[in-house]
Amino acid sequence: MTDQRIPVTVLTGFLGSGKTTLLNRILTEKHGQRIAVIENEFGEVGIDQDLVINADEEIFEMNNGCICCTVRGDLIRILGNLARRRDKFDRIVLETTGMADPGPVAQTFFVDDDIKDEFCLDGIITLVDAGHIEQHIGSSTEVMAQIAFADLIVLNKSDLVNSTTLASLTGRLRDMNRMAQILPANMANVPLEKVLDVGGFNLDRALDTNPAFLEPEYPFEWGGIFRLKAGDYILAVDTGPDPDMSAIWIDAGQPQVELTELAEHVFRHFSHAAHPVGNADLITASDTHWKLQLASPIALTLQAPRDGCFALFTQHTPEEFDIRLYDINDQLCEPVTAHYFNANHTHDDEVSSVAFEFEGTLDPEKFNTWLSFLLRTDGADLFRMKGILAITGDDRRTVFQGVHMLFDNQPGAAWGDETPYNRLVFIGRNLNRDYLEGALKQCLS
Amino acid sequence: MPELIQAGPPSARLLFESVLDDSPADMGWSSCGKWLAAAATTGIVHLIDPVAGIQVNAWHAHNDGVLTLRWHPTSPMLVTSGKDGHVRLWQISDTAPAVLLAEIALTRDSANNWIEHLHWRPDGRQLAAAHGKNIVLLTADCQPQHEYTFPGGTVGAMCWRPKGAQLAAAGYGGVRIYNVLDTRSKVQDINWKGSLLSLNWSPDARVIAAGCQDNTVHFWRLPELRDAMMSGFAYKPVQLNWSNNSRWLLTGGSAELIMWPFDKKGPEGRAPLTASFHQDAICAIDIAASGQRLATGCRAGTIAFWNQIGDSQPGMTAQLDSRTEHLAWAPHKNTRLLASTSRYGTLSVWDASVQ
Repeated sequence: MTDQRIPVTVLTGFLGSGKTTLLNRILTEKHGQRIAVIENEFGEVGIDQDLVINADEEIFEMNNGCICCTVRGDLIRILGNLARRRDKFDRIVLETTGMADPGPVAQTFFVDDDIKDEFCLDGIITLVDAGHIEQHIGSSTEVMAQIAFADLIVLNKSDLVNSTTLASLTGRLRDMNRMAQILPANMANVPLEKVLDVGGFNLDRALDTNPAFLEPEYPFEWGGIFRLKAGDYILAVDTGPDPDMSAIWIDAGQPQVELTELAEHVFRHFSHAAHPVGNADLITASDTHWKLQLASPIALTLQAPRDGCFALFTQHTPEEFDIRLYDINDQLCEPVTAHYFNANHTHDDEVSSVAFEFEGTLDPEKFNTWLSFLLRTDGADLFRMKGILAITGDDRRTVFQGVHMLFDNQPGAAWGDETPYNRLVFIGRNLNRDYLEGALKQCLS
Repeated sequence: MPELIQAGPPSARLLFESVLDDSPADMGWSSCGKWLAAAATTGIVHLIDPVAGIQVNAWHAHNDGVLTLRWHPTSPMLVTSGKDGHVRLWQISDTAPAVLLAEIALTRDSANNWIEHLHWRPDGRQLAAAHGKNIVLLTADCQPQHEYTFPGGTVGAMCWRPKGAQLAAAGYGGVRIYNVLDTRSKVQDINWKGSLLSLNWSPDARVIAAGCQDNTVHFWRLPELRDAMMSGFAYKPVQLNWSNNSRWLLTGGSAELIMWPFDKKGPEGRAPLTASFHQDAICAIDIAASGQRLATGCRAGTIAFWNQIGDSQPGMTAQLDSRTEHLAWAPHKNTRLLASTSRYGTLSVWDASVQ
C-alpha cells in the first residue's frame, strides 16, 4: 500500500547559504506539486503563494524521561491545522532559521502520533555556502548539526571556490555525514527531483538513497583508467596539502574492467611498504606502492609496456595536487573512467560518521541491551543512525533508523539465499569507532 | 439452520446534513438552540436552522480561514477569529444576513496572526482571545481592555472559571490563572514541565484538568494545587469533559471511553469506569446540558450516543464519512439533537430520540 501521508521537506542551512533561493525554485518550477510552505524566517518567499505560514520556532522538551527529546511545538500546532486542508496541497516545505537545530524538527515526526499519522518527514536538505562553510563548521554547533542531520547536502555557491577546495570540502562533509548525498550547486540549481523525493526517513527506502555510506573506506581518494599506446608518459604533480602522497600505477588488464573491481585488488597493495619516488624517477606498471615526494612540484615517467588500459590510484584527488598525465608530445591524457573513493582520513571534526558492514546475526537480547545502553548514555551525541540488521532467529532483514534517543525499526525483505549481514551508519559527536565496532561484534550470536 | 445474530445499537436518525466547502474549523449551537454555526477552514461561516432543515445564511468571515467561533452565552451574537489576525462580532437573525457589529485587528504581525482561542466569560461580559503568546481581554462589543503575555510561549488552551471572573491559560510549562476584574492583581502560576494542549475547569471550580502532549492528563485541586496525573493514553487526550455535577471527568485519546471518578476522594487509588465500543481513539466528546446524555466520536468517524455516564454500551450510533471533528448537543435541557462535523466537511444533525 502506498503511503498516503503528506511528505514534508525540511530546508536547513546557515544564513546566506541559499535556502530561500532553493525554496523559490521549488515554488516556481514546474513539478506538478502543490506546496504549502512553513517559514521560520519571515518574508523571504519572493512570490505569491497561497499557503505560506510563518512560524515562531518553539522548542520544548517532552515530559517523557528522555533527556534530549525536544520537539517543535509550533510545528505540531501548524501541521495539525494543515492536516484539515490536506486536499489543498501535496507537500509541505519547512524552511528553518539559519540557527535552527534540525533535531527537534526530526523528533517531532517520531514522537507525535497525530503528526505521524498524517505526515511523513521526507528528507532534511542542508544548504552550505562553499565559500564560508569551513569557518562555520569550526564555530557553529548548529551548522554541524545541520550537516549531521542531512539526507542531502547542497554544496551551494561552488562556482566561487576552486576545484581543490571543492574536493576538500566534499571530503570533509562526507566524513561528517556518510549518509547524505552531496551535490555541488550554483544558485541552488540542484535537480528538484533530488530535493523533493528523498525518502530519507522512509524505512522502506532506508538504504537505496545513500550511495556512499556503505562504500568501503579506501586508502585512496581517486582512481582513473587511461587507454594508452605503449610508451612513456609524464605524470606532473604539484605540491598540495601533504608533503607526500601514495600512488599505484597498474596494468588494468581488460578494457572493460570496472574501476571499483580494480580498487578491491589495489586496496591491499596500499598496505605494503611504500617506495619513495621523486622528480624524474621512473614508475613501472606494477603492484608497487609508491610514495611521491612532494616538497616541490615533480614530473615522473610512467611506463605503459603495451597498448592497453592502465590505472592510476592516488591517495588524494587530482584537484588537490593538480595531477596531470601527458604523452611524449605534451598532449594531456584524460582517463576513460574515473572515480572518487571514500577515503578513511578525517579532518578531526567533532561531528563524524562511521559505517560498519559485517556478516553474522545479532543476538536480539544482547543487541537490545547494548543499544538501550548506548542511546541512554550517548543519545544526546548521536544525531542519526540507520541501517539493516540480521537478527538471530529472524529470516527477514530488520531495517532501523534513529534520531538521538528515538529509535524505529521494521521488518524488511527476507534474506532468502543471501548470507545475512549487518550494515549500519552512525552520525554523531565524538564517535568512538573502535568502541562501536567492538560492541556491535560482541552482540553477534 | 437458524442463526443468532447479535444486533448492535440502533442508528440515530439523521435530521439534517450539509457538506461544507472544506474541513470544519469549529462548530457550535446558539444559546437559544435555534441555530447552528459551522465554520470551514476556507473562512466561510454556515448558519443552519436544523429543525427547519435549511441553511439560513453563509458568509465569508475571514481571509485565510476561520479558526474559532463562539456564540455569546445569552445573545444571538457570534464571534469569530481567523488566520488574518482579526476578531469579528456578528449579529445573527432569521430575517437578515449576518451583520458585522464590531471587528478588531489583534495583530498585524503576519508571522504571528493566528487567533486560535476565543472564549466568552460565562456571563458574556468579556471575551478572551489568544494569538501566539498574547492574551487580549475584550469587552462584549470587542473593545480591547487589557493584554497579558503568557510566559510559556504560545497559548495552547484557555478556559474561564465557571461562574467566575478568572481566566486560565495553559501552554508549555503549566497554567497561569488571571483575575480579570483586577488586572494588576497577582497571577497564580501552576508550574508543570510539559506542554499542555487543553484545559477544563470543573463546574464546581475545585479542579482544573489539562490534556498534555506526552499523552497524559494532569489535574490540580484548587486552591491547594494538589496534583495527580493519568497516563496510558494511546493519543493525546485533548478531550476533557466534566459531568455537570463535577463527579466525573471523561477523557478521549484512547478507543475506550474513560470516566474518572472525582466524587469523594477523587480518582487516586480507584479504577475509572471504562466503556469499550469504539474501534479507534475517541477524538470528540460532548455531554448534554441535562448532564445525562453524552456522545463520543472517534477517529474512524463512528459516533456513540450514551444514555448516561457509566453505561457500558451506547444506546445509539451513527457513522460519519471520516474522522469525527466536533460534537455538540443542542443546549436545551431535554434535547435529543446532536450536531457533528467530519474531517471531510460533512455537517450533520442527529435525532437521538428512541424510535
